[in-house]
Amino acid sequence: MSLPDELLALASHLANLNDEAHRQASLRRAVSTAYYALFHLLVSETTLNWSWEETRSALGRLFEHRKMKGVCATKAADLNKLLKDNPQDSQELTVSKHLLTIAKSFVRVFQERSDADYDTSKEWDQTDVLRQIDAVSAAFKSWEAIRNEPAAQAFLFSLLAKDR
Amino acid sequence: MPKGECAGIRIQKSEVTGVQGLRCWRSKSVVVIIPRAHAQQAEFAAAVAQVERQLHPNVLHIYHRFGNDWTGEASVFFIVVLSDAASRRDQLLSVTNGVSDAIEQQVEPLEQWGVLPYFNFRSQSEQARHKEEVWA
Repeated sequence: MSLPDELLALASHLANLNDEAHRQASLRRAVSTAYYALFHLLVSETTLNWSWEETRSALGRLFEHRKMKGVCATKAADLNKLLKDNPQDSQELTVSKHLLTIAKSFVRVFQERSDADYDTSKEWDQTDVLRQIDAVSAAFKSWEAIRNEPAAQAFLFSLLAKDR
Repeated sequence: MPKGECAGIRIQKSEVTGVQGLRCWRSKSVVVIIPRAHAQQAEFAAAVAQVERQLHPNVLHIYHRFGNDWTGEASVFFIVVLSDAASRRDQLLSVTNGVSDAIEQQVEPLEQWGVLPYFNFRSQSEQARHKEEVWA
């Protein structure tokens, strides 16, 4: 099992612990772990394109969470605008819908992960945590469906590319 | 929001004393730009309430408040209270996606109101356990 898959499975395990003594801590760790599952999926898929396997891990350290969130927010806004015009069914449209699922999921789970890790005033509900894990799981499936598409690879590159 | 676009309102600084969530840009004259959602909160609430009515009985209430997300972007945070039946595990994602899609498509928080939407969901039973709810 890959690290992103392991993290997603762990997130689900933590969310379903139903351990009253550690309920809030478990739910917080579940949210944070779900975010890192998606983060590491996108990072690992990007670095797979780097032929020197030994340096992929170091390359992955170049990714910045905030930068990725910003790219995903812009991508989601662009795709929402595109889909609003009800374009005809096509492979491009299918890819766009999957990319929207991934981008929106990243933006939202980034915010939730920050809350889970740093906002101690927030009380978590299991329904919401399970829903977030489901959303990340859907993003994983979307990625699997489009990972070899040029638009998907361009999206990965944009997560790392510097603004010019 | 794409660069160069803003669903906001430009007003003179002297007119906005006390208004929260301001973003200021200084040039020759001082101009303040705030998201339209902040300036027209009642209209925003009415648009959300309309969606809430459409989503009944799955959705019991939609609370919202304005703020900034962790990267400082003007945002609206929704808490959606679902009926216990709609919170069932096997349909949770489809129900919650339906709610967020309805709000995004009908209210258009980012495009029309200048705030990035975020969603949290609770079941009716979970809501009963929360002591207070001070949101709109």
